[in-house]
Amino acid sequence: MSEFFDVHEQGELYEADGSAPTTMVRVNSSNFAVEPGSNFVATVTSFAEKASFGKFKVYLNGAEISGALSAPEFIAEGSKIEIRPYDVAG
Amino acid sequence: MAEDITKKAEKEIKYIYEKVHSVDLDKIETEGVTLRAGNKVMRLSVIDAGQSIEDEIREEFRALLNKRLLQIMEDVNEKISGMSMFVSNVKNDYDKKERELNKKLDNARVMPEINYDHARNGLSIAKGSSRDSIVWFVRGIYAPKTVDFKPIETKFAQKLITDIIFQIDTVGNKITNLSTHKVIGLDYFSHYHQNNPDCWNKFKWDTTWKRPEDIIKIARDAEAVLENINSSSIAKHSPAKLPHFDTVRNHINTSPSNKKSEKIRKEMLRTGISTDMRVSDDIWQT
Repeated sequence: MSEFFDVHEQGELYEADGSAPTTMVRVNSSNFAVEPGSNFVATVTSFAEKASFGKFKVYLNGAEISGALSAPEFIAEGSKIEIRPYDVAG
Repeated sequence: MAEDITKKAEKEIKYIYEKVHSVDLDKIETEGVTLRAGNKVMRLSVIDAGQSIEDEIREEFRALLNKRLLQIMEDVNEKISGMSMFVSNVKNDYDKKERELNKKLDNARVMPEINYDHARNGLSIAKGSSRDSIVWFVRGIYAPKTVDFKPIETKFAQKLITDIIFQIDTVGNKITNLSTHKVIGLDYFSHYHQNNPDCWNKFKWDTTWKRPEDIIKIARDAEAVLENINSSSIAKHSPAKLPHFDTVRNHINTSPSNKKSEKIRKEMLRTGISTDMRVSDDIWQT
């Protein structure tokens, strides 16, 4: 379960009123607005690539999506998507 | 049980002895001694007061009968003893085999059903050293791509890729250990977070398993964890057959234009593994 939606950290992109964007992707503590109706897997993968994640975890509205096959085809309006890397070893 | 058979045999012998001893010549009554000559029967009468002819004959038969009875009893005793020993030996063999079988059953473990799809995903198993313990092996790759989530130059990262085995130990449904090993010989695989065994830091896996898929998932998660090198907690700066960590750090990609991921070409892999061949429907990757 993602903890993101209970935490209001400063993100990269915010709405005019200072709130988090309605439909958004969160990566590395930054929020990015995304267009509802965009391809879910392509969008998520693109953000993960930009963040240099090889393998990563995806949460949609707080619930983990186990893999690309389990993901919805399109991003619904109001979706809160979080992309997180795996834990670190060491 | 063998003792019971012996006692029963002794009882049977005693019974037969009693029957044999019950044969008493004195209880056999005759109507005097007669002499037949053709169709004439002549009854003998005592003239002298000494032992009668009948008594003399009875005594002679008694001696012969006792001798014969003794012989019969010895034969019976010998036969029953032999039979008793035979049955005892059969019983002892049976008991020994039953004990061996029970011992085998005690040591037997119900192994999980591993099918072809599991094998395709690199899963194999071995019996553990203790009862109910299983050692699971999942083939995987060590392929670090980032240092502190900063990308390593793609071509340099490709040189780090190594074929490894993830070993997962279970006792019953409990997962007791996760470690990385060399494919040949199963020694610990030397990498930047290997301290015999591996240092997993914050990475926690499920403590129980129900299906072989659960084991495969843990291995795949561990594989994903090892894609990032955590510079703040390096266990080995110069692991065997991998570059010194400082060298890796010198190949961190700082140019944004080079960030796009490239497909790893088979001919550039050190171990002959192609990531394209991996089954990974349940994991997100770029």
